[in-house]
Amino acid sequence: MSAIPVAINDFELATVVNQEVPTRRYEIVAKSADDLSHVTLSPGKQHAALTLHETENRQEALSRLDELTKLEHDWDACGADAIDEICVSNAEKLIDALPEKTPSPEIFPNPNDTLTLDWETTEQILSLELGKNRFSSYWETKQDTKMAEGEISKSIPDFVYIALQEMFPDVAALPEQIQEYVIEDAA
Amino acid sequence: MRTQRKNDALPIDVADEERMARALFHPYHFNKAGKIRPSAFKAPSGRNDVSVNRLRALNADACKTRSKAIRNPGDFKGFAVLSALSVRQSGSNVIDSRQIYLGHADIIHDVILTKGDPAPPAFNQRLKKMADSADYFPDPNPASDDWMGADFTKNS
Repeated sequence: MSAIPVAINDFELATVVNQEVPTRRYEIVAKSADDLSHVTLSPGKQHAALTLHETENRQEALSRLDELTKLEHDWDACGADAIDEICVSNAEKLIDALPEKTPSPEIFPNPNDTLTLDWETTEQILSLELGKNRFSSYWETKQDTKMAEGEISKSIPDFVYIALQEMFPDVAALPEQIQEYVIEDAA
Repeated sequence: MRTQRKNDALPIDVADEERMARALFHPYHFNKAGKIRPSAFKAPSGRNDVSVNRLRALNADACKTRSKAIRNPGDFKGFAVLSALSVRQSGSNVIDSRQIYLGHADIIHDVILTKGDPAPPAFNQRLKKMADSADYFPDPNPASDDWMGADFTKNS
């Protein structure tokens, strides 16, 4: 058993004491439980199970966002607007707020300076477009398509949270009470 | 041969059965699985037109020449090919725009997006269906001036 330093957000906070290959889950010993706010700690122990892939996944998504902030006007050669920094900030907040075990979305720029975040499984697609103050989303399942749009009042709109729970059942329970949202079936 | 064809008899009306090629550029027109992104058919804010090439008028080499001319040629990755009918069935239209060059057409959306505001979800889903209905023809040799991929002009 070898000890491997683990860094989250560039801060070395733990040492790997057990690595299970090939699941890439690591048992780690933390220096401080306070530093492991997004890692599940076993009760009474300063041990945590951290899926390193999730961390890499989040970092990849955030790196992608950073890359998209550098897009200049006309990045698509068809007159596209540069991506608005508020849209990027909204996306960062959403990614930071994603529950454990929820994969990070694929992120794409839109020519109207917004961002689209997509999650896809074999049977379902969730697409979320984040603007400066508003979001729009559709959720395709085998049964139907649901849609929602509205003001961005939370890091993760309720409609999106519910869809993610369906798509990725391991998602933790909604931490706040669900508020009403607009939802309609596609024609 | 990088020439246009059938120019003299090109009707202004774009028939339903006509196929059109939309130039695709890496990396923003594809997802990780290599599928065409709906945003490939989205217009910038304040506009509702998306450029395409009419394959009734332009051969593959001409399409590639036109496409590489508008952007860093190294970013060019191929074409999304779809019929005018599939565009119209989705709720948008296709019109000839030969004032840009003969063989140029525009997909015209009935939605004009505002800067910083997301598109209506139904419109985004429409664009997804449009992207899904398109066939992707990758360019195996983007550096070449000639089209060396599969023939996407057949049935035009």
